[in-house]
Amino acid sequence: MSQDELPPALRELQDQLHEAAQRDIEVERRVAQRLRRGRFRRWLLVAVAAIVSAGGVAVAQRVLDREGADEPRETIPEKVAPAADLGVIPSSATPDPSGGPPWAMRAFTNRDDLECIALGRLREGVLGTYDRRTFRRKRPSALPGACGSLRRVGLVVAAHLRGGPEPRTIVYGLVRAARPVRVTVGGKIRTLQPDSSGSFIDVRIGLFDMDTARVSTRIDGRTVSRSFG
Amino acid sequence: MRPAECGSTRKSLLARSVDDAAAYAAFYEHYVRRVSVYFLRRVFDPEIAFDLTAETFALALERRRQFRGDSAQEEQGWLFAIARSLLHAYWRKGRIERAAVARLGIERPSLGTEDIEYLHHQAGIEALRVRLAEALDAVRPEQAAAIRARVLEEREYAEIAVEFATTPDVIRARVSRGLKTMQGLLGNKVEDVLADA
Repeated sequence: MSQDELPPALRELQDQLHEAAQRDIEVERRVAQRLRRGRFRRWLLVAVAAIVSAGGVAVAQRVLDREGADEPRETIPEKVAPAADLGVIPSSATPDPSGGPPWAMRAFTNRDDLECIALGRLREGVLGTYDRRTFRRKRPSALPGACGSLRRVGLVVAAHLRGGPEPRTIVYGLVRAARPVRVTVGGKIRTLQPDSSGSFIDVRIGLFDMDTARVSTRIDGRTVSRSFG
Repeated sequence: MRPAECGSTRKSLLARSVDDAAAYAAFYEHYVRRVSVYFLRRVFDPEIAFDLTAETFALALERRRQFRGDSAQEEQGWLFAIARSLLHAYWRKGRIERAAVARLGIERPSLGTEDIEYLHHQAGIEALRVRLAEALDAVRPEQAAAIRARVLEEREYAEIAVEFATTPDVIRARVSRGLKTMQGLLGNKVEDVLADA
């Protein structure tokens, strides 16, 4: 073997790093595509609804609420600020693999009487963000979240993809009946037991393609399932 | 890409690797020898050096979006900052960090004879060993004995003092003077050997 050539173990490590880089680039591409698609769809719906409806503003508001757990969104807009704040759910606290404040949820009802959830890092009873060992308190409207009808559907879920040096895929939600919840992400299934409030948070290392992700549980004797695709 | 093909003015492979996996493979190929040699000359164990190398490149892959430079020189400084930090963490904690390798799902390849020989050759370990032995032979016998007991066998000063029927301060002085003499004999040669790491 020439000294210019890498020996087998170093070559194998190179191949694995190459594959990891390919996976990372592909996930980033899909996340970006999904965000673009989501934004485009949302504004297209807002525009159409505003034009064709006499109550265009009301309809637009409804779309911005992104009703339904299968339409995870980035943040809950200011205009759907909590009508009744159920507050932070301390029992939802779930540790992050890299340490720091745990992930936790806030739940509230919006003006359309939908249940909303917001996700953040929990420190001293408040939710915020945690980046480079710095905790920043955030308003609920500045946190990732989603709204849905817990009473009608029985399940409100959302997903949060965080890039950067410590990438995470977090699926979280509220379930009406505190039955076990099956979360499928990247082909791997985890069964979580929601706390007494019905909240659950699944934290995974890395960024996953959410098109195939799914959350399911049994409510009133039937299986209720939500996908993110 | 061979190092010879990459002049100091080339654009950063690391910057390109944000959306080009092949650029990351080229970045690895360009630096893996220097990084593994850097570790091996400091830990003298190919297995540990390989683990530290794998973690360095895994962390660099995860953090490459934070790299703000655009030149080869900047990416090299950035990569070796990660390597240095991992090495210091290893010395401080006495264990190797493997978190990034695990996060990326990398299965650590086993080192074979070919790999170990390659790493030893690249690091010039044999040459360094011979030079160290020559330098140790050149210092006064009581200083060489103290250095062997303290540095190579990692024994306590008090214990060595009992063996040589003297005080720990005397042993400390012998080790210190002996190492200074060796440094004088080896200084430039050792720096030459370590220069490219």
